Amino acid sequence: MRHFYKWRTQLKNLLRFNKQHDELAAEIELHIEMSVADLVSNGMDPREARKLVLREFGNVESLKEECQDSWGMRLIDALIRHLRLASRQMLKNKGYTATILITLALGIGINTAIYSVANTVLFKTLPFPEPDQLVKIDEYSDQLGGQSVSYPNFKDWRDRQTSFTSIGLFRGQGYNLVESDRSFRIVGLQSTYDCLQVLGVTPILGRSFTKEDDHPTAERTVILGERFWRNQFGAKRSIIGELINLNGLHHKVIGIWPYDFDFGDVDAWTPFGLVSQDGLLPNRGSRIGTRVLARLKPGMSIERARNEMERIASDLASEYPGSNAGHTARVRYLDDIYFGSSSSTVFTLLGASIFLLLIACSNVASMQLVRSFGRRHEFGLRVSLGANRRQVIGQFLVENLALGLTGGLIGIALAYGVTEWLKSILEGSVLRISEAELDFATLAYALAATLLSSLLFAIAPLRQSLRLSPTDALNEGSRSSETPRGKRWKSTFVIVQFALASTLLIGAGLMIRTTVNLYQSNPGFSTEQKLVFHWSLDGANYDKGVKRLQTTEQARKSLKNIPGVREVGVAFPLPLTGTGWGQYLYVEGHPIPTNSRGRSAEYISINETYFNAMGIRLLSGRLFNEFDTYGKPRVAIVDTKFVEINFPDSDPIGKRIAEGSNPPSDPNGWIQIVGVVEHVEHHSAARESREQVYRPLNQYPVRDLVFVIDPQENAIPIGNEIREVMSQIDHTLPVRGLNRLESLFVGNFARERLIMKLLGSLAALALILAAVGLYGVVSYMVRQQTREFGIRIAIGADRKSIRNLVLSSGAKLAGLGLTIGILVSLGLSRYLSGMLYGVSVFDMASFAAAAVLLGLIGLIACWLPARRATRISPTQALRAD
Amino acid sequence: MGNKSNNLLLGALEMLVLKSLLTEDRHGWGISKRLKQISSGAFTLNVGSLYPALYRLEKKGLVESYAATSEKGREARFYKILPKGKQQLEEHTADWREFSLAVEAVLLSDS
Repeated sequence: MRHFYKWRTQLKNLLRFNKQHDELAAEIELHIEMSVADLVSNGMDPREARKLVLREFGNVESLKEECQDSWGMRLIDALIRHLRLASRQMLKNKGYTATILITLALGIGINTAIYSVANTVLFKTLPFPEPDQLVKIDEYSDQLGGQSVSYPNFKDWRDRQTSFTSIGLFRGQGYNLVESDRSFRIVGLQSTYDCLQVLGVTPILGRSFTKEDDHPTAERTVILGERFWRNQFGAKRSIIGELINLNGLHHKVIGIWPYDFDFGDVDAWTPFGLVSQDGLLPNRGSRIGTRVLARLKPGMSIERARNEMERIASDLASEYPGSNAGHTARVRYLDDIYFGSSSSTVFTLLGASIFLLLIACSNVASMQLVRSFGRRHEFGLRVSLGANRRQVIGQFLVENLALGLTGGLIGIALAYGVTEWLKSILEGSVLRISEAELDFATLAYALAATLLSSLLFAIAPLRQSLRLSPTDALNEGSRSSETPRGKRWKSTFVIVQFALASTLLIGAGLMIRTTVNLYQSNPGFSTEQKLVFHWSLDGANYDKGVKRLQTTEQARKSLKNIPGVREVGVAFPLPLTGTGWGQYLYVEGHPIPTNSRGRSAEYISINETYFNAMGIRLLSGRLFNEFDTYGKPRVAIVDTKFVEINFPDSDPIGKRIAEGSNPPSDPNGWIQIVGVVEHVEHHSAARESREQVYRPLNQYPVRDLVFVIDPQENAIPIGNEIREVMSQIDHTLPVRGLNRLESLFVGNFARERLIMKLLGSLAALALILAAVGLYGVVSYMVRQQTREFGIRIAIGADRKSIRNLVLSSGAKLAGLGLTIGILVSLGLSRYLSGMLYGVSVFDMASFAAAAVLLGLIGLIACWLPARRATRISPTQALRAD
Repeated sequence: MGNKSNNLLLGALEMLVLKSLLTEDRHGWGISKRLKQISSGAFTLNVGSLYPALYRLEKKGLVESYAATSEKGREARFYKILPKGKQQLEEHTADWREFSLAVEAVLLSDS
């Protein structure tokens, strides 16, 4: 309470302050007048009298201050006066103020934004209880790498393991949600009942799956995601127990998952048991998108779990060599997998943003250093006029704090904007990015870092100058001398800035080259103008292969009849869609493998028109035709890579291969190679793909299809026609992901493009900041040496040599920075190597471009002050004292 | 002793101001003139320090100020000694006498 009164009094005083100040001034004025009048009446000259009285009074301003002391107003008043002065200073020196503000804002804003994003992506954990107990288990073979887990293998793992409290299997499976007259695709997931125990979530409504639900003959049940439930069913609670139509089959809704249960934003979960006997799933050798999650027992180490799983897998390999030979189990933390893919992107950005913050800090510091040296004169003057040192330092502190805080405010606004921008462009390529929000701890940290660097380097030279007597300070200020230490600091800052900026530039250069290479890379087919979309023949209607083939052919014909369509092809999977289908195969005439699984290739099912639609060239043999149907001898077309590996010295046409590792027991199992086509990059241009085997769709009628449509040149957009045609064929089957093939191609290196863009922007900012820093330091140097240059010119120095002198001193700093930057880059660029394509980490072009660009910018930054130096007139320079 | 004497010395101006206000209320210039008078020019008052002293006294509640018209017809701020001020002056006078006797004893001793 007492404090409150004290503050109230201070506040009142503050309000009264101006009045009181005026009264005091009037009082003193009256005093002076009366004293003068007194003296004049004694016969003194009025002007002399006034002089005398004023002398007697001493410093009127400090007198006023002393009175204010007694008003208890000192601190607040001082602050206000300092602030007023500070704002005047800021406005007076607009260029300087703007530079500092922009530097601070950029340093603080961008660093905070990027850190906020990084924080979300790198340092947050999975949204499940005890996330560090969650592991993912894959089957693994040296040839095929990480694999899905076949259902029979999973069941044996489940029965034999002792390391996990629970272990479950799931696979993604989109559904067509059918409503009376329309249908659309929803994100679906099929999982065993124990998969949900692994994740440890409980539904917000209804119940979870039980062991009984997870059975081939059980009633069809479904659990909906909260978001889907809200959007599609208006959060209707009575949905529990209702039936919904998925792929033409009725499923009973039994529960709702909470929204924050983030597992790929699934709309509908169904028990895996319902489909466990479908198609190839019961085969131990078919590993089709089925993945396994498990939860470690409390206190169980991942190493022990690994050992156990490897032992189980090796037992299974000897029990079922036909399907399991060469296969082991790979246990990895889910956390690592979940966030690992985004982390290199984020780490790169984080590193780059820290570089930018360092540049900003050293820029601010060197500018402050320069300015406070420049202002020593002013402060010396103030001290000599009676200001005390504490006041001067206080004034300077307030000035810098005001500057820093203003910069900080702009920085916050910038950070907010940049975070939103980053979120929008990282959406889709970085997991959980939507959760990113401004991190205030980082903001405070960045603000403190920049402020501190600004204050420290502003105060240091001042303290030094204030310790001198005022006359010394004044004298010294006018001479060109400066402590060697100050000079060294400034040079260091410029060198550091150039080193950091060149590192960023080189990184950006490497990424630019990578992206250009990717754009120019040839996936093996033309992407121009082509359209693709997914279409799945889901539902009981299409259980028969014949029906699937008829419908596919019907769709293809209808699409081809759309005006402007040149050719329509059908395949699964399509290149660049990110789906691969690796399988083992046996090549006739080669030894039967004993220990390993032999050979493998990627299998693609296509129709007869596919190669024509895609523009993939047939090199020898023939294409598939209408006679390659079910029941006829099985045929395949292979690619050049397959030939290189399996038939390096002979003609592959007419040779036979078989699925699996061994020769087929049934002679009908042989597949004859009838043609060879060019190899295409199947996954993305950046990742070399495996050898490929094409099979006729007619002999392998799959459910999932990708249509590729090659329009005639300059065809009009036909997206709507496509949808219309497809919906006439079956309105319950939605057209998904209709897109240009080119965007799939470009989308494949979205990450590289993204890093290039961000690194490029950061490097550009760094370049600007470094240039500003160099400009500031060099022009200050010129100002300091005005007298020296004047004398040189007076005694006959060539103006050109003066200019060269200035340029060379700037170039020395820039060159040293650049050299250090290149060395640092050589050390750091190997961290980028994983993201590069077709570029060496020691790419000369990138290094040279960065050097040239920085050199040019450095030259411009020095040129202006250098020109100023040559224009110094000797007389003016000598009078400058 | 150092500290106490300092306080006493610092208070000297304030004491003199209070003393000058005993006879009548005065404005700043009047006080300075009166002090010159009673000291018979024995010491020169730093006029500059007068006003801070007045503000300190007012803050301590020893004097109060009011606006009035001076003898020369000018609007001026007059100072008036308050009872608390008179009491302080008496105490300080006693202290001062004690202090000056002590100083005298030291200075005039034959050591």
